[in-house]
Amino acid sequence: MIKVKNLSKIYKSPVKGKNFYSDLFNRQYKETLALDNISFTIGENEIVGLIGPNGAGKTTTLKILSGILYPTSGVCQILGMVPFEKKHGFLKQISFIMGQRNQLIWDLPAIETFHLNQHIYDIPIADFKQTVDNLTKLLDCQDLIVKPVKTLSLGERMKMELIAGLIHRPKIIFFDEPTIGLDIFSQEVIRDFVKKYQTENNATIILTSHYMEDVKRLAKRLLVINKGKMLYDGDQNEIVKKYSLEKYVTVTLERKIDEKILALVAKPITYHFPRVVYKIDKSNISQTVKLISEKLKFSDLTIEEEPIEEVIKSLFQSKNKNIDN
Amino acid sequence: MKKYLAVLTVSFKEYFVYRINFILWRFRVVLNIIIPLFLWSAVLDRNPVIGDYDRTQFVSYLIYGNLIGTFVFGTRTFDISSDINDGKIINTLLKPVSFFNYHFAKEMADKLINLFFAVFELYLIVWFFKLQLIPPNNPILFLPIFLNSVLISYFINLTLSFLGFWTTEVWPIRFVFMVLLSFVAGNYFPLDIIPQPIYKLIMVTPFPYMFYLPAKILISHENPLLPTTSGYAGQSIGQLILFSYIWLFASYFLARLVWRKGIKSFSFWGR
Repeated sequence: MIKVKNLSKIYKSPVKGKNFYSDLFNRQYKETLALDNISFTIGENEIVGLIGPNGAGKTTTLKILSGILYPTSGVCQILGMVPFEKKHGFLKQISFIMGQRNQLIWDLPAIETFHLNQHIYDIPIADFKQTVDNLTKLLDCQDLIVKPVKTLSLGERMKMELIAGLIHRPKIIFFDEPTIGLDIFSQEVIRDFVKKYQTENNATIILTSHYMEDVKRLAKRLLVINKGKMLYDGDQNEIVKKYSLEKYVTVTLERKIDEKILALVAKPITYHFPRVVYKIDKSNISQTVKLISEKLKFSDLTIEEEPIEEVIKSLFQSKNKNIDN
Repeated sequence: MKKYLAVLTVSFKEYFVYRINFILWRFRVVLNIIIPLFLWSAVLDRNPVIGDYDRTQFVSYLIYGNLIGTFVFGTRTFDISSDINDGKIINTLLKPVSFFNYHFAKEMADKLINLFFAVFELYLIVWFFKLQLIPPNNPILFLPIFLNSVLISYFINLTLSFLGFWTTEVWPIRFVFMVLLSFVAGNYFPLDIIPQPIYKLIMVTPFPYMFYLPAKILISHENPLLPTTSGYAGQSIGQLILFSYIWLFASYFLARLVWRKGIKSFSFWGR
């Protein structure tokens, strides 16, 4: 469905010259490598989380996939078509929903934008009505579509944005930070909606988000990029197994103990009586547990995998060093 | 076609949200016709004939020209350069629509509203100042040339907006264009009253084909199908029509070229 091979993108940006004259007639450009030889394929009905720190190349990737940006080199094919050609047959099957930008007509109620899209995407009126009905029910916002967009809150606007972007029932959806700036309740609503929409419509989704929770809950597969390079492409659970070198050991103590005694086991990362947490190298787990049972009196002990956020953070840091070197 | 009609309708609705802005806009338009009308009226009081024009012809040129101008120059392309700079243009790029047609539909909304009100305003002005007009001539020749002027103006305005792909400072460039336009398109006086060498020079630029030529055709008494040279300041009408088409194609291809280069090279940085 989506095929990307050796994709690179170099941005050229003007550098401020010494004076007006050199700016006008002899403008210098700086080149920034935003994507560096990226390859992946995505099949039908998949939800993929695209993650990376700011400036990693996530949005650039989505912009190339949706045909907005022209890649510097490499191949990008979606549904057998080249996105940048912007064939109507291609555009009718995709949607690019951005948390930071909206397509809604600011001064008019959202239903006007929906109607406009109905005509633009040639949607039969019966299908249109059914879709709007369906989506407004899923998002519980039937009364909002007739209010001028400028009077809606950010969360309400995002709901309208989702409907406007999905009215043509796209096969492929790019979500760029769909929950940005929203409170935790709205985030939850959007997440549930995306999940439901995907199962009902068998859509293929690529999602970027700074909220790991979005990605954790929605995407089975992760693409991790940093500085334009692909660091990881695979199952979400595998990344923890593969890259996590440590585990968390949480001990619930029976009575207060001096920190010096706690340190006999290892240096704890937090200690709020009665809980003390250690971060232990995977290879040392059994030894540490033995030590704990010798030195400490406790009522409970749990061993957990490192959270995925931590794994990815350390992945960025270690790979960063490699890239810089 | 239906989709572009929908764009037109929604643009109409957007217009009437801000009523004060709308009223002020109409006020400005009325001033724009009254000032040259007063000015030339004063001149015509002393010299009853200017160039080949008597009072009725001169006033007719200004009034008809203004009506043409409201349609030709009404534009929403200003929005495009700011849409490029703040990234809003992405919304249009992602839709299965032709960018040129989409914006033309928006433009038509602007032009139609402009024309609708201008007809009333000019009627009132003509009635109030008891102006005498000649009935419009040559409608069959006028229509295609008028259509050309609408399109030439649209394509040039698009090209100017597309400069937003390379610079954030489109406004000064546009300003120079507008100043040029108001002098050499013939908004304030018929171009053939100025000295021949300057007139001829102006006639090779695209400007007169957006305003002067259609207005001139409308007030010209002569049958344009006859090979005449007198009515168009020494140039045959055939030559002027040819130029009008040359500028139509030139402006279209220029706009296309700049558009293609623009969307290919633009970075949409962080937007």
